[in-house]
Amino acid sequence: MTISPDLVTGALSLIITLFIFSYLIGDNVLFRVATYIFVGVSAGFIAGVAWWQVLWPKLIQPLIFGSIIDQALLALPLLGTALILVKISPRLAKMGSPAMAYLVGAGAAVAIGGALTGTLLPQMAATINAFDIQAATIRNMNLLTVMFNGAVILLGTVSSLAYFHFGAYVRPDGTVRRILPIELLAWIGRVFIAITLGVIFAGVYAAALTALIERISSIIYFIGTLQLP
Amino acid sequence: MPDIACPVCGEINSSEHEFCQHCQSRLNPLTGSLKGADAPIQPGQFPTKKNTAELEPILPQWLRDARDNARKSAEEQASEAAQKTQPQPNASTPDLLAGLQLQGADDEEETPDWLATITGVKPKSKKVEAEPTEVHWVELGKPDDVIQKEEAPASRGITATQLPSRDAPDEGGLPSWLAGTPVEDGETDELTAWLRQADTREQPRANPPAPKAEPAPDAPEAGPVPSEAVLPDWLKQMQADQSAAQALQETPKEQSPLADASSDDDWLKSLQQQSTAQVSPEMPAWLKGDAASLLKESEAEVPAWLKSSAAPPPAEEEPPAQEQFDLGDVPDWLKAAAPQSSVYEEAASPAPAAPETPEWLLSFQSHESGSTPAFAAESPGETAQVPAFTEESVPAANADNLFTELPDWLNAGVREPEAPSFAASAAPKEEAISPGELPSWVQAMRPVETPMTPSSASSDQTLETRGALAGLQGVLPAAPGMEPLSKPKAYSIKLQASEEQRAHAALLEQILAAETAPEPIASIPFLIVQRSLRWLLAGLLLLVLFAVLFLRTGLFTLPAGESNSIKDARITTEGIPEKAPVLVVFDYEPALAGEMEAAAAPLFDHMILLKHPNLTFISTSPTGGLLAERFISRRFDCIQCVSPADFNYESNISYVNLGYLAGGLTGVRAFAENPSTAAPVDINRANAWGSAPLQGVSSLSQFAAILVITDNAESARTWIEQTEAKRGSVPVVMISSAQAAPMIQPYYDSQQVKGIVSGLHGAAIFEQSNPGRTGLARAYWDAYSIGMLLAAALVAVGGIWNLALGIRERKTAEGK
Repeated sequence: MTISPDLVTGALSLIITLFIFSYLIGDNVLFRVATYIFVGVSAGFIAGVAWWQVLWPKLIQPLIFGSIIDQALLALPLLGTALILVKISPRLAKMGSPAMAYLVGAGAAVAIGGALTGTLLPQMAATINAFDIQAATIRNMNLLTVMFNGAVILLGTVSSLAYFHFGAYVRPDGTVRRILPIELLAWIGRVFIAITLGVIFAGVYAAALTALIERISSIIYFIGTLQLP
Repeated sequence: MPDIACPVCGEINSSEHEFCQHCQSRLNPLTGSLKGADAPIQPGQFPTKKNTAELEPILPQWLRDARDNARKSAEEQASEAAQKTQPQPNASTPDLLAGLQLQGADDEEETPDWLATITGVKPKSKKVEAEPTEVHWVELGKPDDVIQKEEAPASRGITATQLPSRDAPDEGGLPSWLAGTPVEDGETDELTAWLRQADTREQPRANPPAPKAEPAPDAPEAGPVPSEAVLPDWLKQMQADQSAAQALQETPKEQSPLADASSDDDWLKSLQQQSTAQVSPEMPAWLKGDAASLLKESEAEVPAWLKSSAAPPPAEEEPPAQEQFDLGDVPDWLKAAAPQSSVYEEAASPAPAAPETPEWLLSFQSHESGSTPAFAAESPGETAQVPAFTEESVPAANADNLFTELPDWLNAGVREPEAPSFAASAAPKEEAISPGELPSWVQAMRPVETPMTPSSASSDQTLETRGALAGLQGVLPAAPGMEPLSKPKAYSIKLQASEEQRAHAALLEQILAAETAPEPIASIPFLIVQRSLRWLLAGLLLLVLFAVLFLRTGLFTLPAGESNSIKDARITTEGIPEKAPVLVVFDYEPALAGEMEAAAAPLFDHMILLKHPNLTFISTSPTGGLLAERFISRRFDCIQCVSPADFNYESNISYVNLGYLAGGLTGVRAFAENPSTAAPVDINRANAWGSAPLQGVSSLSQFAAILVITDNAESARTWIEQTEAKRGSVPVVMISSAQAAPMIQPYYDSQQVKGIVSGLHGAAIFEQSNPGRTGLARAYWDAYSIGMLLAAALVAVGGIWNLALGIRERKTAEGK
């Protein structure tokens, strides 16, 4: 009788799922075994992926089988790699600083440029265009709806920013408070922030619930398949 | 002159002062550094002989003054003695009681206790005054005498009130006449000197003996015959009195071993006569004041020993073995008396003594009937004379025995070397005097019998009476002047703090104690309730979901209505050309694979079903490639569910999996710039850009659409931002988890993203666009709905419960 891989994988998934569910009664050995297996398998898989999909095809193979030009182009990446690996030693850690600086600098530049052109400017324009009647018309949206949406977005944005304004002065009675407009906007911003956090929490719960449903469904399906001849 | 710091208290004093102005201690110690000759004596070493004249500078000032006065008085007395024409007392009968007068002249002299008990008179208190020179005769002498003190402490003079040293001197420290050794020429000591003097005087002198002159303190003992100037003053005075007494009272002299025995009576007679007429300026007050009374009493109660001395001396017994007894310079009277009698021999028939007479006097009385006492010749008939050492009259018989018999300390030195001779002597036992309490001046002259230990290196045998070393002897003396003369100040060790400071200290202590004090945990029952509630809720949820999924209920309908984001997403997918390359990004974690697959399945079903695009899978997560493979080849665990596997997409034919894109956002940026360079091979390490799915594709803008399947907003933002410049008009559709949808919505509002399908809810809506094709959304929707309702109900119930508790607590607090 051959054992299908699906049966093995199904059984393993069932067992590990039950191990994870055992956390309901508290931290225990079964849960720890499942987590340790997950960590170990993940680490091994990631190491394999890093070698086969990054180091070998992009560094080792061109260096061995590539042309002279390819090898010359790999000199700097190879040097950077070696310098970063040198950071393992505390004595020689300073030698890897230039390579790390290059990585950090390049990443910061890409991140800042992308954030600027991909988020800040477009979002600012979108916020401004919230009261754009022409755009709303093109989109076949009710003008009142567009205005209301725009107002809510504007109020939410300003009040949320006002909530994080901490400039205050000391009143004659000794208490420290912000000026009244800021205090009012901060109160409104507190409401928006609370609603936002609630929505995020609901989304997280929904995602987790869906995952749970998928797991329970797979268990039921597996048990059901076992009964089948 | 620089100021001097006191070595005791440390205070600064002027150099002009000798003593500290604060503690009265000597500023400049008299002793120098202990080096060389002054080095301390080590245990086992014998002290080196020193010339005492060199040590005089270190003596205390009072002692130096006394020594000077003694020298002066001795010189004066020597000059006076030379001028005196008074007959010298019989040298053969040394007047041992001469010292009594001397003592009597000292007002400070304390009445011995034994005498006080007899007489019933309270001993006089000592008076602080300069020590009279008469007392110093036993201390002073030639510088060599100091050396002899170290060698023979027994012969060292001590004051009349000083207790004799307990440590026995060396055998060599005993005077020669006591040790029985021949007297050396250089050997001198006070007793030996006056004994020699007495001996020499008794030879030529035929007159009654006169009180021996007190030897000068520092008068050098040139030869064996001391001059009258060496005699102590009290002895001279006694001699003078004796001569006067003899003139008054003619008593037959006993022929005693001592020559000129009649002189003994004479001095006693003269003493009686002169006591009322003349008071020696040197006599102590107790003797001065009571001289008259003593005379009267003495006339009535003549000591027996004095009476016996008045009687004709019995047949003189030849001093047996006198020739055998070689005492060197011992006077003849001592030599004669030594074999015959002893003051301390037990009396055969002790004479009845007066009730108040001491024992030593009783012992003296025992000799009255016996042989001639040794000192009987000195006071044969001077019953009227009152002994100098008593305030009241001493029985004559006892007094006679006192002066006619050798004291025990003399017999001890005599008896030891010549024990056989003494044993053979015919000294009657009845003449022996039982040892009794000796007067202090006699005790001072008594040698110490205990042998001196050779290991004792200290010559100071002073008994320590105070301090931690009380009761010890041989303790190294403190440097003169270094002892604090004043009582040290007593400093209180109690902390001086005011009430306010104590209150602050107590408050600080309470604060510190509160910091470390453990707070009682009152939440143990609360923890138990929480754990039970968690189990209850978990069990309820699992049970409900399990039941719903198992029963495959269709109670809940799919959500109606299509949001704009979902609509746009659908429109976008419908606008993809057929068999066009579509880039699909799988940037979600395996933990949320159930939701993401359920959310992506309807769109993929709609897109593949309509357009059959060539899919290119890529991921910025290492596990993305596997997730992509799983998704495209998986058959969902649901009955009658449409799965991507139904489309039979094959690798490198219908799709290509580029696998993991390293570098994060820089990798995405690099892929956007040059996709073939950033991801040259697929997950099978084959050339991906030559495969059919990527035929004619060399840049990002050549893709028909970009589908980003992600569970976090950061990944979505990265792909949106980094491909903004290079994707051109390529539409981006987000398939996100329910938790990331709120963060990605602004990008949809800004038209950077063409459509969003978020979570199971979006999938359920989109799935309605595929009529007749049910997917996971329908299978999960009942359980998802019940789960969401249950969560909403529990949140509502919990909120209401907390609100009620808060109101009740507030009312309780207001009521208090």
